[in-house]
Amino acid sequence: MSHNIEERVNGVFRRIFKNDSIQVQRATTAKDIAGWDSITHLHIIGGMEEEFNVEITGFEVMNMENVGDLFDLLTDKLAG
Amino acid sequence: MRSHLEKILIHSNVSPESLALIVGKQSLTYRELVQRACYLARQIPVKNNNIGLYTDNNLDMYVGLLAIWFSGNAYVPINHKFPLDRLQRIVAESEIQYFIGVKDSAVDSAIYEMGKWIFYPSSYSEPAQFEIQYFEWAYTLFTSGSTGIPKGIPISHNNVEALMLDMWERYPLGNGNKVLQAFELSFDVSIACILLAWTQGAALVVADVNGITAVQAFKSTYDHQVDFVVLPPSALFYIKKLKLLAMPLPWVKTTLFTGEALPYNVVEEWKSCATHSVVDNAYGPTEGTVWSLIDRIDSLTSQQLVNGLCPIGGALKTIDIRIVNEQGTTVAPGERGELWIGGPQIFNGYVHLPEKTHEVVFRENDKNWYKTGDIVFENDAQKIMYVNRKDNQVQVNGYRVELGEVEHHLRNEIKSDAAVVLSHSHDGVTELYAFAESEVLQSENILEGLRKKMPGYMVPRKVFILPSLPINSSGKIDKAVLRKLIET
Repeated sequence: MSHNIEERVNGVFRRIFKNDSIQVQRATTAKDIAGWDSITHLHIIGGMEEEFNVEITGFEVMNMENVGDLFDLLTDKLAG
Repeated sequence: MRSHLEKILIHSNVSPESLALIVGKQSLTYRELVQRACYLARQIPVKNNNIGLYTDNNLDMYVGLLAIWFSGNAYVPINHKFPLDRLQRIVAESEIQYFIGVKDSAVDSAIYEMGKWIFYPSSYSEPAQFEIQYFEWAYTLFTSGSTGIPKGIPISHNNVEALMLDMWERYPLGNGNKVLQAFELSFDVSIACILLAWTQGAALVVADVNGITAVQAFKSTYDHQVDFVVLPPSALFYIKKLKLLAMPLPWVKTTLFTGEALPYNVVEEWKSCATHSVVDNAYGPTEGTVWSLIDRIDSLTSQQLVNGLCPIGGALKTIDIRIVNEQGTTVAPGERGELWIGGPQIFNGYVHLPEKTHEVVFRENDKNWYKTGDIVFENDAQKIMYVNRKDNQVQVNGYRVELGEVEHHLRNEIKSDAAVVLSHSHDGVTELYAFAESEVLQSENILEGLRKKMPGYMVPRKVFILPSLPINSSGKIDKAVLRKLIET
């Protein structure tokens, strides 16, 4: 996972949660950030698609357990 | 009558190695589940009490629920997503002294200061001997009250058993079946899912309620090939939005939609994915123990729908129903009236609210009756059709307006189910406000379309276009959040 992807992912989280101090880690899950509910989850996915110009499928969303899975998915998509 | 508890014990003897519980990558057999529950029950030093069950939604929480019952106590869900102030009111109202939960440094310490805690052990050993105790009460759930103070609804084991008598006949399951549990414990559908599985020897598959619950429910159904699925209709919104409907679920045999009014197109969309499933619409207020009426939804024509919504069907075998006018007199078939439900599933009354109880509960011929506040009618096929909440009918400029009807037109206009209409009164003037999800439509276009369908007084003052409608912890649309938008 490149540093650049991590920073851009954090940028999306900060925009969506309107909180500049958010710093997600590989192990971060919805439980760790207040306000990360179903609606926000959709916004995060949409925000990542826009930021990285990729499409994230429902199947991919279904298999993401933490932010690390998101990092890996984006890294794969950008490499492919 | 405690046969639902006895059936769980029987399964732990007859098929001890069958799977009882699957939570993520962890699972318990019936033997392990009952042994652990007995072990934990021994740690609970009181009887005939309400015990706070902290809703970590982990494997232990399900053991904790059974342990509370086995120890002769009732559970009150302490939902970790509720604000502390609300939890403190719930604890005070239900006079909780003991709590069961996991010791977690991330949990607000004020939660642990509310009483004495019994934490799940790191390992369970088999108790030498344990005699299961029985208490009259099974659980108390709290719903929002009109005064802002949570309203406690105590449900007895007799109430639960009455529900299960219908469930066992209607949905016979066994060792090979898997039942989905995708509801928070503070929403009573959860206990119906738990008991449908455990009283019949089936496996309960628990979906993660963090992130997008609907997606987690879909994932659990997919990964574990769950064949008995219970979902709120709004789950389809997320499932569709993430294009999951393209993934077939041919192993699903039964789907129950519950918790919200069921638009018929949700049934059609779900059947495109769960191709071999029958679909039921289950209706019921918490006061009547989870479900009171259920309908099997086959092919319906638009004439058989009300505002695009499916029938709620007929009463469960232990429920009696009446449809009455404002004077409490039974109306003629086809006429609209308030639904009253009676029988052994109906609760006795709210916690510490005798006046509110008196308003909505009465006893007749040794039977409790509950006035649901839901407006319904019986159609030509003798099925009950849900129309609206009694209090969802508003007066606008002297005209009577059913908000459900405005929502129906709005849904058609935006070609989506994600639509809500609320009324707002200010300085004696009542106006309607609409909320819709759309990425392409402008509010002016929607209003223009609505003006073509309805008289002017029914057309909302404003349409709020949102990327998504807010959902509360019960998986329902959060109208309180929408009301704030009107006020700002």
